[in-house]
Amino acid sequence: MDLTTILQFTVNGLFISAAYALVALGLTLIFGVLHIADFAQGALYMLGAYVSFYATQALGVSYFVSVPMAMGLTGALATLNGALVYRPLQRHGGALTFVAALGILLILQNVALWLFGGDFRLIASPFGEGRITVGEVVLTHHQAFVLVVTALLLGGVWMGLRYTKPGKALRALAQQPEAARLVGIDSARLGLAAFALAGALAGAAGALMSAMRAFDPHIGAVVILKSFAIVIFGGMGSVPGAIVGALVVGMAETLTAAYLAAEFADLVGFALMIVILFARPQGLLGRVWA
Amino acid sequence: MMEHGALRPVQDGEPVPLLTLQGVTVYYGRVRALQGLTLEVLPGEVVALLGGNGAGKSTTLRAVSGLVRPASGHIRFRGQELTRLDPAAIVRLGVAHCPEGRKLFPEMTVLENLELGAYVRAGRLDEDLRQIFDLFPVLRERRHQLAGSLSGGEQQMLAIGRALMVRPTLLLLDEPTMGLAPAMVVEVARAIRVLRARGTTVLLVEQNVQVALRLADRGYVLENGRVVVEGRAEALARDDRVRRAYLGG
Ligand SMILES: Nc1ncnc2c1ncn2[C@@H]1O[C@H](COP(=O)(O)OP(=O)(O)OP(=O)(O)O)[C@@H](O)[C@H]1O
Ligand SMILES: [Mg+2]
Repeated sequence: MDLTTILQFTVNGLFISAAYALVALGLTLIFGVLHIADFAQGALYMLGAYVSFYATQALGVSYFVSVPMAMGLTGALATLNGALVYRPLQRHGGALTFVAALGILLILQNVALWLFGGDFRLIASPFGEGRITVGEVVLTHHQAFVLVVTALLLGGVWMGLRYTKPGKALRALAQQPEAARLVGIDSARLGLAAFALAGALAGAAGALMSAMRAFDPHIGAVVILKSFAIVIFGGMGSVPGAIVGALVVGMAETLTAAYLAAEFADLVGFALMIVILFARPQGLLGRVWA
Repeated sequence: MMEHGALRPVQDGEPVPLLTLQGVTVYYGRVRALQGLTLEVLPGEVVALLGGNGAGKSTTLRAVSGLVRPASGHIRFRGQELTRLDPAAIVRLGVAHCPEGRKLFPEMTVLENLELGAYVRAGRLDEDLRQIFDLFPVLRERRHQLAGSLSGGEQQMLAIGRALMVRPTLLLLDEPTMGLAPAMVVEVARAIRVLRARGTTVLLVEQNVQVALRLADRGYVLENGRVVVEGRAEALARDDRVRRAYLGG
């Protein structure tokens, strides 16, 4: 494999990883803080794409405005799910919230089918066909934009978790919930903040990716299954695990599509998940809390 | 910092209790952990809660700090009913709970753990940190180390330090010497004496009866979720029933 090919794979792989990283980060936050496997995040990815599509197409809104619009709407929806569905159910154990999450995913998917139809759509990128070529390595302007925005979002969340008071409270809640309550952290409110953040990230991913890849109402289910495999691979509740997992799976998918067969690419994430479950059940960067 | 808000016993007549529990009953599902427990803690006192495994000592502290809600009975702190408040509201009143098993935030530094102790409090923390580091100098050296990487004794000091960041009027300490080497037990006991001298009221759960009764003014012995013996620490130290309670009688 020559250098050009390697670099081109890296670029393509990074681009796929970006979407996974955004969704997986939200999933792992919700899981870490609330122990909910929020499959409904897949539907928020899908809705993020539709918000951006209709805002640009029908309302003539700039794409750059449509992305934060999508984030706002999906963040709000995630918060509503958290407050109205998950919180009342959580008292009765994890299995119920899981079934509810699948239910929300399917309901939103069908509502989207009914409202928007089943046709494949593609958001018109404001960058058009623009591309950067370095030697023979090609990077479209839209890809570059997605990579930069993703890096900013991931970096922002990471800094927020590390240095801000609500960020530290979220980490405290994930690491030791009882002590978090004892120091006065309001777990209900912070739980909703985790939902809002995760929903906004999923909506951003949908709006960012869907100007490159065509989507329909079923896109959410595909994305969420893979993102969930990534979260398990990286370690449930681990933030670096979600990001490293997204990188590994994005790269592995690209290489598989190139050297084995495109049909196998979608299986790579699940294969990695199963392998890690045997070798290291807590995930690549997961911890076993004492 | 610690004398902040601590009431002194009234010299003439009956001192007003800082904390009273009256007929407190707590269930975990169908298990009744406390059955009509009654006790009081006077301002400035160190009160020991003794009893065998499962007697209800931790549950008593958890009821005071709001982690569990009693099915019946009253818990009053400075006359205010606590039973319907959540833990955040209770810690704001100046009741800090250092829980059994330390329950630190393992992936955060010593400093972050201490800062989170002051979560409900606004304002600068330098003075509080200085006092805690003076009390436990090893924490100052380790302040940038992750809590999960500390030794057992250091973790216990950090757990106490985190509770002190509340500037508590009442400190609930659950088995602070559990699993510690003798030298560390001495260290923790010394810290409790310092706190007491500063006027902090302490409700202390201890399996180590000797340590507990040397530190405490008074004590209660619990069995099956009720008080079976109570008295001055010196008297309890000589009481047969105290020993029996620890043999699981
Ligand atoms: N979360 C829980 N769920 C069910 N039962 C519990 C729970 N926590 C405590 N119990 C029960 O309540 C009773 C009192 O427990 P508690 O922890 O208060 O005892 P303790 O005196 O602190 O004991 P130890 O010395 O072992 O810490 C015991 O019978 C215990 O089994
Ligand atoms: Mg206990």
